[in-house]
Amino acid sequence: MRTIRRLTVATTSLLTVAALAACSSGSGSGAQDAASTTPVSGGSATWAVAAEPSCFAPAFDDVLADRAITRNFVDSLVYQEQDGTFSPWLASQWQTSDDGATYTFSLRNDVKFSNGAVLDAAAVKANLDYTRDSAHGSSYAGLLGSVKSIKADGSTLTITLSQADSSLLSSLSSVALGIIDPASIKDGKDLCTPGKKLAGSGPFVLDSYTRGSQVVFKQNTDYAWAPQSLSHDGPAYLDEVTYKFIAEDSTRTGALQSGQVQAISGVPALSVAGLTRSDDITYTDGPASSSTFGLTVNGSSENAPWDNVELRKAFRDSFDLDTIVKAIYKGQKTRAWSWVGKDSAEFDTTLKGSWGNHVDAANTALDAAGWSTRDSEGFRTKDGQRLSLKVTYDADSVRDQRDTLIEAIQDAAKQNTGIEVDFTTPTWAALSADIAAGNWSVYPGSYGKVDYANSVIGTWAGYFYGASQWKPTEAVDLAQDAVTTTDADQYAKALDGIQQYLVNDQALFIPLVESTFQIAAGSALHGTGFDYSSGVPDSNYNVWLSK
Amino acid sequence: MTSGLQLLRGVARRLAGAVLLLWAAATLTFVGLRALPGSVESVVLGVHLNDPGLAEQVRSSLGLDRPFLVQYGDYLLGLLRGDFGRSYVLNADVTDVVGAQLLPTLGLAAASVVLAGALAWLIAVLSAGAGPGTERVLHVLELLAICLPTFWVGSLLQLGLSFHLQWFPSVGADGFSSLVLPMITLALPIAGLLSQYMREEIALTLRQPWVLTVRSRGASGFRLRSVHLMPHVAISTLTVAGNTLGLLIGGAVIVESVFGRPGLGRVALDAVTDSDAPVTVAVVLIITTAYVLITTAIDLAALIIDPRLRQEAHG
Repeated sequence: MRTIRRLTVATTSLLTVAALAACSSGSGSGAQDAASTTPVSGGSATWAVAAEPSCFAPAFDDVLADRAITRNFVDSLVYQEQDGTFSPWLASQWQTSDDGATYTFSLRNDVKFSNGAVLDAAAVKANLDYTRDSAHGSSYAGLLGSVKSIKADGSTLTITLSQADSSLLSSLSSVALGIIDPASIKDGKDLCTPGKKLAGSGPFVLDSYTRGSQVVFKQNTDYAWAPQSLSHDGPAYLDEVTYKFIAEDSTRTGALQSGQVQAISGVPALSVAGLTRSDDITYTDGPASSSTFGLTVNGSSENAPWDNVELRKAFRDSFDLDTIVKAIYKGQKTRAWSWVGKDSAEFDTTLKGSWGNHVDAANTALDAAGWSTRDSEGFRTKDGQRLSLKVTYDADSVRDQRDTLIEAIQDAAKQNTGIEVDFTTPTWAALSADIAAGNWSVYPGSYGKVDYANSVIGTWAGYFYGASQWKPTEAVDLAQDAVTTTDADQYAKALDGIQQYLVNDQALFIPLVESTFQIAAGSALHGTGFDYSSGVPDSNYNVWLSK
Repeated sequence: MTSGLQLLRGVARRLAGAVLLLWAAATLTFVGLRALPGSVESVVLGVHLNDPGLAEQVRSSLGLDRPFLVQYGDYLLGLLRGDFGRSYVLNADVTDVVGAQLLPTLGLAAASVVLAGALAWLIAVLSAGAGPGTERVLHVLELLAICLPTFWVGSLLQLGLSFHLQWFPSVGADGFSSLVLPMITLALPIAGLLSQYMREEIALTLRQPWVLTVRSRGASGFRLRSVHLMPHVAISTLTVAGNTLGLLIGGAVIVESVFGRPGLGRVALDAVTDSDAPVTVAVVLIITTAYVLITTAIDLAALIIDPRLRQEAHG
């Protein structure tokens, strides 16, 4: 076996160095080896991730990337497949009433939390009731906003809604509504720092946590309730999984290349070419099934003159996004067309090519709106006032060259149309206070893998316009339709309408790039993948190390 | 007056000064952090600031609805009891957070200072009295050690000794091997600084008349520099070493980030960026305490090493 491999390497590679490297990396390192397609149990794997989870309790974990870690010890009621359908997990089956307002789940009766407590309907009820009570301050109370009451009877859970909710199963499949031992749930945010009390039912068990350094999981040897659609059942393959928190991009990639860690997530676009040059590293870009990264523009009169839709459209069309994205990301990222990710079933394909890079039309519109004079720096003015757009992005969220991207747009907008983009990166504390007060202009960001309809209601009816008289009512009304309908066509139509309104008609959201998570893994590590309920790297249940 | 009483009085004066310094540090941080943009509620609640009822809940649970002076008094009383309050961001008691991070940082700092001291001593002793060419080379090296950005040095060490040669792990805090690279990174600028001072001091002292006496007794050049000169050089070097605390703390912030180590530096950095006032205050007070302890210890050590200082204290 080994001889054959060496020969293959020698014939396919002209460089002796490459052949030597392949030899020294051990016998089983080739992902293509026939022997290595059969999973083996045992071993421990280490991931390097960019950020330490802000919280390990599902109800208070607001950072999407953290879910990749939480998923290792937290299961959900239902499992979301790659195609967006749902299959059994903690619930072995469920029925929906004809009016879509009652869901009856039958839970598996063999599931135990890692501390030995039984996971029954009462446990699930306790979790969901805690999260949906807005007094507890969970970010995910809104996911259960349509719930009127929850009844638990042995292994039967009945959720009664005040109205049909097309997104309920999607919400329940997410880590955000994952189930932990209810005995400690009243501790609320105290569970954020993992300790003995925080227990889930997942394939791994929290073992140790060192703030600022790492978290270690041990295999849950009793695990026997994996989603049926996965390739295996019983316990996970790995004995132990460690996540190291390494903020520096170059350190993460270096640790992977030198074999000190087996996988990294948060792969900077510019490192991809260097990483994939090696046969020993595989790179996977996750599904573009979350909301895209883009500029959310305040359409209310507090943001005058940008409450004028013609000005917003002119800005949106004042730059050539294709060229900018290509130049910055070297083909590793895709420009976005909509607020909805292109791999989502909800993506309205007609948005492709429907906006952007219409410099002449933009200039005509700006002239017509009275911004026809220029100041000494070449920016448009009207009545002595410069046409300026304030873009504020909290410094902590800036990553993956998003600042470079905004600066390129800043440059293009100035050159092409004389619009000033005033780009600053204040702290989140300062910025969130401004947003809460309605005193914001443009916020760059992505909203993660969300239920799109509910997100519109939360974001555009609530969060961004909480302090404003004006609201993007049309989008919010469509979102209400989408949430409450049980008809698939009506749902799709409403989602299309929302995208057209936000991006095309109103330019309240200017999509920039698709937002994805990435995994780069050493070739000895197999089975990594994505959690389709969140678009983030999945738990390590399927992951194994070749010997 | 006995020198014991003298010492006691000195210590008492020191202590009073230390308490005053700590109070000033606590007050300044408290006022400063409250003056920062963004209310405490918005730090705690983030996107939930406008959720009905939550802001009021936070205000009353943190006592923010009471008069400023009452809050300040409560805060000082809490500090006296060793209660630093609760982190706004980490959802944990500050004492737990800071307590768990203190040891790794102390370990790193102590190891780095010892290494820096040893390096500086070795260079100074071996090179004092060498020709002007060696002097100049050493001077440039010392300057480089002091001036090169810690981040850059750390990354370079990581690249060479960890990623390529695989001698040491690049990140983490598992055992001594993971301490080596951070320790070297943090020690280099301090070693450069100390070595500079030590060499100058040695050169100065070598011109003292008593050196001739020692030499005439037949002591070798190395023995002279490493044994007889040491007490003279040690005092000024210790004072300089005490003042490198700032370098040490600033360096620890960067080193802990680059090498993915737990520690106060990282916690402090996060606390400041997140406007997490209680954690920031705790870190500031720990640093102030460390500063007071170190400078006091150095003053006392100087008294022990140099009998002349004890004489002067009488006068």
